[in-house]
Amino acid sequence: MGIRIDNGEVIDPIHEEDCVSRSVHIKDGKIVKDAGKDAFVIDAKDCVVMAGGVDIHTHVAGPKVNFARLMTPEDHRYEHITREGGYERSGTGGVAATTYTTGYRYAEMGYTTIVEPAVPPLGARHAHEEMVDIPMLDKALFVLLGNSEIIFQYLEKGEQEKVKEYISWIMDATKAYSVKIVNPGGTNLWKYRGNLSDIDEKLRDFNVTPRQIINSIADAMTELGLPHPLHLHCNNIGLPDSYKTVIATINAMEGRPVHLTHLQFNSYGSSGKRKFNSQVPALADIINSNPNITIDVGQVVFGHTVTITADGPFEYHLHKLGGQKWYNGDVECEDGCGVVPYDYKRKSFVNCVQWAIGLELFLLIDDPWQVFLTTDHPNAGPFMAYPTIIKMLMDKDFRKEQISKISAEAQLEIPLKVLEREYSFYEIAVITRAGTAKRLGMTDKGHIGIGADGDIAIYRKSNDYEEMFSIPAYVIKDGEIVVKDGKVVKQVDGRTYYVKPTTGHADIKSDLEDFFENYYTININNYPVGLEYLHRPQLTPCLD
Amino acid sequence: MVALQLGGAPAATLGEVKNRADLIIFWGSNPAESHPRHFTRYSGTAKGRMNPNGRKDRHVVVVDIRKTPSVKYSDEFIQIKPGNDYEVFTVMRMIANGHIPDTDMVGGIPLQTLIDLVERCKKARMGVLFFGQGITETKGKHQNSTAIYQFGKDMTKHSKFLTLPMRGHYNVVGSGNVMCWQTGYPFAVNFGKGYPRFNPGEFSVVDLLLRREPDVAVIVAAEPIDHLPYAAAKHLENIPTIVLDPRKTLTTKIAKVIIPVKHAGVSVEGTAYRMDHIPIKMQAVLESPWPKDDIPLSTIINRIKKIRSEEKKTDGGKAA
Repeated sequence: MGIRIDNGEVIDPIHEEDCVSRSVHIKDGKIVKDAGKDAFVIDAKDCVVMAGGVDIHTHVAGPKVNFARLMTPEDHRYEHITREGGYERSGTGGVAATTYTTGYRYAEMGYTTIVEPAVPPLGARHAHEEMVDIPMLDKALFVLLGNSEIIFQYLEKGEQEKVKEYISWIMDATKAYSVKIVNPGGTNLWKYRGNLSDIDEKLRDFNVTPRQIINSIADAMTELGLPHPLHLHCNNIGLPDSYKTVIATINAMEGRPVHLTHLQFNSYGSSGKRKFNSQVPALADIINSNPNITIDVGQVVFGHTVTITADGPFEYHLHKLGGQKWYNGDVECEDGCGVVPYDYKRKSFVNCVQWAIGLELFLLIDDPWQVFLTTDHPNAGPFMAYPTIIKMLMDKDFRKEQISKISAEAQLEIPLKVLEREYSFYEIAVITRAGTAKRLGMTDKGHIGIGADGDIAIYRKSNDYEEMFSIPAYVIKDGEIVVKDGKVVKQVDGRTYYVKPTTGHADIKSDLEDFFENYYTININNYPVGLEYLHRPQLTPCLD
Repeated sequence: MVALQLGGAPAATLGEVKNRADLIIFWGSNPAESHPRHFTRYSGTAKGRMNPNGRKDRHVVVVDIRKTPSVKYSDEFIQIKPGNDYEVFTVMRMIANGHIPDTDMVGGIPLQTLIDLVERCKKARMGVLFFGQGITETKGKHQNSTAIYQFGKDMTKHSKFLTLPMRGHYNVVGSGNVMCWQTGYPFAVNFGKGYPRFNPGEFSVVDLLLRREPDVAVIVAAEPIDHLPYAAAKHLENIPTIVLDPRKTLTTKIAKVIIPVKHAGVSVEGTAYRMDHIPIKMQAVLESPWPKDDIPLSTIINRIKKIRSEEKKTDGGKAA
């Protein structure tokens, strides 16, 4: 049976529809012209109707996420879900929630698609096993290649065709959707306790620089026609003057398409009394004049969280700063990871500047199609805080009230204090679904045109935008009502999207066999992840 | 696991050890007998990026209470008095942080030996401390592991240093991982209230059995009669037990119901997690007439669900 949504105001930025009163028809899991006479009718009076939310960057599955769960048992105690409460599978919450909880909580905010953005190739099998246990959502993963020693070897010899061939091989071997780079070269140096601070600094074992790494991988990805461009976590994250690295990186990209992830963590200067300040105005100027760039924010949420990143040296730095627990997990030949629990405090000057920087990115980047809502879950805070963030963007009085609660010293210094911009529903739809889906190259998502996936969120209009986006009236996934009044009413399983680029220009088989024999501890034949590890695998075609 | 929860650890996959480690310490671990392939594949003779000559590029130390068969593969053997590991690591952490205690011997080891060992760790390109059940199952238990992880963190101020447990028991790491992503906790999970709760010391299997709390046990791919303390295992003889296992074991001897199942990784394909958390796809190599573990388990669950819903119907009738 189909579904027809009547009387709602449709917000579909991909089709430039802004609060258009029309019906939406869904049948057989897709948006259709007519759902038929027997369609189940939802009365969406006083509601806005949007496509299901699409999160472009959220750490929800894989080895390092599981270490975060392991290391925060205290955090799981305060929230749990049960079968008696209406959920098919029980679980625990907290910032590093269990897989089932993660799926339910996303759906209950109106999200229907998420991307796990940082999986080392050797962890892909694990990440896919976890993703099977995340219900309600379509999923995809990005594979980490910014510290790949195989790529470094090819770069030393200037063998770009082989880099391209390897990327197509590894994406198939990991069933990945796109490629992410984290601290290019830096995590490799961390294997000797080192790091690097400049994009033209050479590595220790390889005659290679971060500039070469990002350019080579970005070019290969463009030539392979990957639907999502390079997803980049820049060098020097979290450090004063990290904004200079961003500018150097943008210049090095020379107009190539790039997504700079959780830019909040890289927008720091070293001015002011505390030698730490916001450099968002400078970065926003550059982004506003470079349409090849998109970013997601990584908005800080005050409170307890756990940081997890492939940036091994950064996590050690964070551990040294605060003395919290610290897990480090270097991955042979490929990458690394670190896990450190962290508290963002309103009384901390630095934390408050970080918090303000996130909002400044949203408010100073003019085009919402270039800036997306994330908390880099759970690094800057849990995704469950999205409705609160939306309220801060849409309601400047609420935002000012929040500013009045942070450290007085920070209040004086932050550029945020003079910003008056307020987001519209339309712009919120861009930064939470239309823009992310478009940047991901997921053409069936983020909009409500004919043929799109039947993933819909219906929110009751309210002046309290936090409440509005916390408790959707309905969420529809693949044409089925799965959430009602902010509560899961039906468990469904999503697809896993992957991309399989082909090249065929270079022969790397014997190179790989030698490399595995010499440096890996796993046989190359046991390395690739087969489709049997994916639930409802969905091949996404490459661009022409 | 508890030690990891308390403080974390500096770790890596075993390929990092193979490629870069030039100092290997086995502490309370006897890989020659417990992990016979470890030495050749990863930690001893394995050749790697910075260890092109394999064994010659590494210094291997064994610390144990007795001269185990692993000692003959080492460059240095340090004998420790049983039950003194925590004390020795505390002193090593003092030395690492610049405090030399006023004593000649610690845990049966000359102080100078420990000073030399710490110095060697500080100077290593990559030092790795592997520890086994000689640490985790002796006096101090997880506190010993915590002390080791803290030592690893202290060493990270000076050199690349890893502290890695020598996990045993086929796929214990996989079991911990799945428990963790589904419940948030790696073991000792109690679903009694309808959601996962975690409290080692209360909900771990030995504690439950000692309190004689379980009135039925389903045992999958485990050998509690052989492995658990006698007093705990004894309770299993007094309650109905359903054992899923492809082999005759001491536990199947006391079972009320035995369901023979395929051996995972032998007669059915699947995934097992290595001690360094890398998942490995296992192929089926032998035929077996038995079902996979999940078939009898889901059959049991579905049957329970059916009985429960029938009971509800009957209760509903009574109430009306």
